[in-house]
Amino acid sequence: MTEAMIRKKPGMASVKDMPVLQDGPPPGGFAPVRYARRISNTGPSAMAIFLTVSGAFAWGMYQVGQGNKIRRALKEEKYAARRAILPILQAEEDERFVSEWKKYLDYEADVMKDVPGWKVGENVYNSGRWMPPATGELRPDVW
Amino acid sequence: MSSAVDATGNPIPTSAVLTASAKHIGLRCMPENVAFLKCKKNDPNPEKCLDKGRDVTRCVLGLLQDLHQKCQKEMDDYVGCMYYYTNEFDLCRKEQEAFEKVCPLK
Repeated sequence: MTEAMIRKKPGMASVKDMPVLQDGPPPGGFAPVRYARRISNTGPSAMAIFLTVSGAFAWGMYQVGQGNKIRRALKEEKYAARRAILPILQAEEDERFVSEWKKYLDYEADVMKDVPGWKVGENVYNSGRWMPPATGELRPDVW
Repeated sequence: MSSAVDATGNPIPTSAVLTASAKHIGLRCMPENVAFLKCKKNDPNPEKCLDKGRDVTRCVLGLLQDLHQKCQKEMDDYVGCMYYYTNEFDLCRKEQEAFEKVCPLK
């Protein structure tokens, strides 16, 4: 009812004759809109891009190699230092072990002195090689 | 415990002292080291290589004493740096250069 009272046309017979209220273009139409693609063909060629990327990759790999060389030199320095001080550390440990082993053999002789036919010390393996003692009794602080 | 010497002024062979003088040891005690390692490879029994081990210990401790007498301050600095950075060579380059300038590797 309200629409008819707003949009009425003088002399209309029913609501179906009301003038049409539409959203439309301004008079003269809209300005033209460009929708065509404009992708330029200038810039570096495929070969140029490929060569640049390959060059960057090759330079990067070269730097990786150089860095590895430096890191290897550092590691070699560390290992050479370890190799140099290994003998003195082993020699000191040998001295300590020999005195501990003597004490252990004496203790074994003392414990087994009444057992007939017991060869004190060294009843370990039959291969002939020297094996370090395996029970962990000699280093209770470690084990 | 970051002092490199014991009561009588001899350097104690701790890990910092040994790593600091490792290059000198590797150069000047090489015959004893090689002999000891050959003996060990032959027979790993500690009792068989005791004398060569004593050679090695004598050489290294004498070398440490010698280095400490010749370039005491630089060696103490280098050992202190090694102790602080737990035997990382790359973090003590300055002290290493000073040490090797006064006590050259030859």
